[in-house]
Amino acid sequence: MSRVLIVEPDKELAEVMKRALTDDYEVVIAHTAQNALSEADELRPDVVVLELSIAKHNGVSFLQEFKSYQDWQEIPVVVYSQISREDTGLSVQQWHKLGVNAYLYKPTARLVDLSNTIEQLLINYETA
Amino acid sequence: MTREGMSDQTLRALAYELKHPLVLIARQAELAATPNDIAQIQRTAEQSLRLIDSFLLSAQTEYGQQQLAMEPTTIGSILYDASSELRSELLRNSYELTIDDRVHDPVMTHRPALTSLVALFANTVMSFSDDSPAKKQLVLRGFKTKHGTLGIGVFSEHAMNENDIKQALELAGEAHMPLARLSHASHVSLAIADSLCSAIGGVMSVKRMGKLTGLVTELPRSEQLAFV
Repeated sequence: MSRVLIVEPDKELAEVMKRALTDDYEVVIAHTAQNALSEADELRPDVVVLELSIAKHNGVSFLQEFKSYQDWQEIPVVVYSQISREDTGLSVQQWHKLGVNAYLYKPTARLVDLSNTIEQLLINYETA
Repeated sequence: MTREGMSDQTLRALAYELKHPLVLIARQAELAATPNDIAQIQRTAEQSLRLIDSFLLSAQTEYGQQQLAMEPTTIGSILYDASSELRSELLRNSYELTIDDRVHDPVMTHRPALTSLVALFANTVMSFSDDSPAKKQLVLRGFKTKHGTLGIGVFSEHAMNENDIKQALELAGEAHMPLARLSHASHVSLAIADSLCSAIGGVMSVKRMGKLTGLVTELPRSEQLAFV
């Protein structure tokens, strides 16, 4: 079973996301960036789902730190955020350069969209 | 910042912050199957409504549509009202609540606005948490100031200072990248709290009491009840 690390500061939303994914994946939740790095080290996730509004941290700096470890550079990252991509001021290409494989906007992307995106990324990852 | 500027910013902050509980409601509804799921959706909706009510109070005052009707009341009764509003959030975030009402003098205030203000202070103070699973302390406190006025505030062991507050107020309502060390929730709670403080004639500030730090405001004393 593939492993998914959810980095989401809101505990209730994180639990809802876990519930949506738990039939198909082994899911671990981290509420902070620091916690996410230690969970990633332990879990060795196949996909990371990231909210950019990580309290007391910067979503971009988390990504940069995460991707700075050689073992984790190829792990697909899905941003699932309350901040729209347009509001971040970064283009699709810039997010891609940061190591983001998909950007989903929480208000419009349903849990089923998140699940489908993860599934697609894993298929791509396995066939690459 | 101009008065109009602050209103616009508070409005943006509210719109931005409301996305969060609405997203939660929408996603909870996707999976809702049990009475517990429905209860969770209801709780999230009620939190959003409280935020809107607080905002409406401050916006109506700011735009001169309403003069807040001040009445004499005791700080203790405000603290107990606020604590019952906060009950489910305290439980959810593993907080132990203490009500420390060491003053019994009456104050002249707008009761719903001050109750909302204490709840907003509490939400903000909780957002400074280090996210440890350990049981945390939250103290709702009434106190006397050095210059004889009365104050009300919410305290915890979490470190915070005036700079945090200033930064949060500046960023409220912005989809800021890179993000500050505070959550969006604390930005908007602070922006609305700041506005409510002005509406009831107070000023929001950070205060240290022993090992605890808190958000507080001073209140005018009620001479009328003191006389009675």
